[in-house]
Amino acid sequence: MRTCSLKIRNLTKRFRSIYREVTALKDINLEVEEGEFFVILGPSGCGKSTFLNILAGLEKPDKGKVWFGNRLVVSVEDGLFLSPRERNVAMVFQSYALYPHMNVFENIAFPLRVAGLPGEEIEVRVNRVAGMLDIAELLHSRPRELSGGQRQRVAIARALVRNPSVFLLDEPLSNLDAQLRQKMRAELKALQRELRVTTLYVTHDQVEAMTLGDRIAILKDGEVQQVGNPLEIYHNPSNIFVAGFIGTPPMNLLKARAIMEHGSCFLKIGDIKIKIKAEVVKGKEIIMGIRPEDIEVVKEPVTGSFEVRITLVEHLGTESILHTNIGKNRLLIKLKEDVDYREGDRVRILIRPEKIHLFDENGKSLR
Amino acid sequence: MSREFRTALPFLLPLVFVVSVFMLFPVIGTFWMSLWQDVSFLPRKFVGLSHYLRLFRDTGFWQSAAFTLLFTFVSVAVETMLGLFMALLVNEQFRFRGLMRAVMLLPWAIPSVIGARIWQLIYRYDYGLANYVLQKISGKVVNWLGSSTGAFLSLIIADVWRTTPFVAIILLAGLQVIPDEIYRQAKVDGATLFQRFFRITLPLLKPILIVAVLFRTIDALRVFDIIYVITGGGPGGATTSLSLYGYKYFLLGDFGYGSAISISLFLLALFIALLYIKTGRFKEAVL
Amino acid sequence: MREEAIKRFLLVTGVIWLLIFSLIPFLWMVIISFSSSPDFLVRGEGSFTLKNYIDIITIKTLHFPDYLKNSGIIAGLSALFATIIGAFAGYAVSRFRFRGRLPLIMCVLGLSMFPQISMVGYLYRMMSMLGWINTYPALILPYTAWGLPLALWMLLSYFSQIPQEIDRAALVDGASRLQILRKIILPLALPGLVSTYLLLFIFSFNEFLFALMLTTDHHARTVPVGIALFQGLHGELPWGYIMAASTISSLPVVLIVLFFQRYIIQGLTGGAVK
Repeated sequence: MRTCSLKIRNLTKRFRSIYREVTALKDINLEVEEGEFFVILGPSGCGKSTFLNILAGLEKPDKGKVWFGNRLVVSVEDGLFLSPRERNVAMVFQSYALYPHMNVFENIAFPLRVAGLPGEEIEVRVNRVAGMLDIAELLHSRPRELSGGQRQRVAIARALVRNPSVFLLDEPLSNLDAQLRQKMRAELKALQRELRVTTLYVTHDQVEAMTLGDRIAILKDGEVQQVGNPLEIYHNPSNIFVAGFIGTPPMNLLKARAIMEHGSCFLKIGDIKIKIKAEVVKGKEIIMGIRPEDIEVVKEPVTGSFEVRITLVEHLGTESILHTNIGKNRLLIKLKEDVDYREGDRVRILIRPEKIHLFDENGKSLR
Repeated sequence: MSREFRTALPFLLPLVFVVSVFMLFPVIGTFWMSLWQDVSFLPRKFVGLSHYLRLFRDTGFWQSAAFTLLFTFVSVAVETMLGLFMALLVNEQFRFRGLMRAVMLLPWAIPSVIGARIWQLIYRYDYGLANYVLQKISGKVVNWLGSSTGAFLSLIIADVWRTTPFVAIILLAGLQVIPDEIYRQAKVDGATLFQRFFRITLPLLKPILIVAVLFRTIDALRVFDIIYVITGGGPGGATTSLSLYGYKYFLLGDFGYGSAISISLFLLALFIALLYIKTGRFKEAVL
Repeated sequence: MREEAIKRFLLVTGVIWLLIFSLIPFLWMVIISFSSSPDFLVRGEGSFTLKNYIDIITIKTLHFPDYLKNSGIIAGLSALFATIIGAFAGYAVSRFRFRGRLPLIMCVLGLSMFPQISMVGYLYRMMSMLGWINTYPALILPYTAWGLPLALWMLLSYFSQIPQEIDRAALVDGASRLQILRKIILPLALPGLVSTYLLLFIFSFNEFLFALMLTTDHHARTVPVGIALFQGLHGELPWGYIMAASTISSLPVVLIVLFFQRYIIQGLTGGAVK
């Protein structure tokens, strides 16, 4: 079986307990292309694991349809729900879920064994995938003898050994230490490029999402906030949640009032006025977003620049982050170099109109 | 003596004292008694190991040893299989599961003598429930307690009823430590219900299964209560367990020989326990 | 989907089987205890009666209330002693890392595997010499010992779940080891203590062989022995009385199991079952 695209329509999932009903997924619509590396990004509890479990066939939705290629695998309306076995999906769990009583070879061979493949073919395929993931010398070890990174590779090998039509990963790197995580991230990306298997990757880590994903869907409280490639999401966040979730430190979000002066539109924050390009209804309360890295520190007073007082400096070696205030709002500034500022210093900054993101009072982007 | 041990000692002394005086010491004492001729109305006399030599020629002893081993083997085998099924059952999520677990525990929790009395009544040839139901279904009746096979079967059923829950509880503990993700993974890997049971559950349960079988074996070897009540060892001594055989000599006032029988049961249990521990890597399973 | 159907089928049949298998003997016990004749199935006649219950309580020569009282006192006290002694030992074993810790646990647990018959001969001699045959201590002391391995096993697992930092903090605050046990550990492990006590009570309440050997009449005889030795006046077993006595005697145990099922299972499995 070859890899295939994914289509998800109106997917809804509710959890009921005696006390309350929680909607884990609200009317999800997504399309994932064949061979795409698609990342589902969201904070814990946003429903992303439930989503993956439904795609794998481990949980039943309350509403909606799912297609693998042209094949309908879930349709609540038609009472159709294929078991994981019938879907040819592969999944890597956060804990890797290696079978503790089997050695590495048997772990990787397990999907083939339960499918009833002949022994020689199993041997060939396990050896091939073990070679690909550089774990050939570990085949006779037990899971408990392996390091975190090695377990990770075994779990991926087991997932890939049967040429799955869809490859699902549930926070696979979160149990690794920072250094190893970065290495595995690169390897995973290279592997996916090479195999071109449709991949759904769930994470709460925006760096992982930005570096791995061909496209990203951002999920919050069971709802898709935005779908797009990493740069689109970075440059055009559709609401303040996405804006605040992507980027470190997160985008500054400031409450502002729109005013008109001399035929130009300005934002008034406390006693500071910032010129903007867009046309906004006068007198309206809006939210202004500016990324810390988009704020410029200027030496000379230029038009539109203003002074702020530094309350805290974070020195990070190659960059530094200045904490300042405008009115009652906190404003972070990220500098590309580590400059020797101190608390209490005043700096003159410039916010360029084209770098400003505008959101209405409900947080939706005004662009 | 380390400092830690000295602080611990006062806390441990009561336990060590009570357990030594009322468990360890009596076993040693019983062994000592087995070396003496100790019959009512006769003078006490040291006879060394001659009681143990007498055991070899005693057909009653061999009969009850054979019965005890057969009873142990059959009851443990049946209880382990049923207990595994029961554990899988009450490990599932369903409504009233708590109540189900309580119901499952009941036969094990009430006094064994009461359970035995109920079964004794059920087995009655003339108006027992078992024969009444059999009569309705097949038109035939069974002489439950009158034949040696019938009596054996009756005891097995009563013991299975009473002890399977214990096996189920131990296995339930084993099932609960298998992480859910392993099962999810196996499902995604395409394993069917039965493949998951035989390839995941059973191998992972093996260590605790060995523990359960060991506990049950040791317990079944010393079976006394239900036999005392249901068959009294009959018919014709066919269901006399070693415990009951020893007890009968105590009752006759022959404490020396009764002790020798009891000690031989003790040694048998010890031997089988060691066998398990050696072959089953018991220590790994427990610790 | 077929797989889920199979699973559902197995679950439903399993539950039905479990209910029938576990409960029918109990139902039978209760039915006979309330019927005027134990052979009503065959005779085709029989009526509901409370006579069995009234008789076993009021007829003095049957001594059933005595047995019940003896059992309650003996099981209640021996469970109490075993819980207290077990708590001391469990605290020491879970808190102090002395050498010989593991062998001690293994030995005590191993003792519980001894066949009772291999102790009872000597216990009988010992109690005779002390003149304790047919008294409460003759059973309370062996039952305390007999319950200790279980008490140690259960309390150890409860105490191990209480972090050691709490002890260290209390030590720094100037508490003695005994105060820590009394004021911190025991209150924290209260659910564990209760389930240990209840389980030990059930065990002592159910014990048969020791009671059979070490008691002679209603002054110390316990319920299981009473029920096993119930004799009718004319040779025929008085089934109505036996089942009525059994029903009354099962009641406390059944209530304990119904209300504390979770704690009992948790205690027996060292907390593995949630």
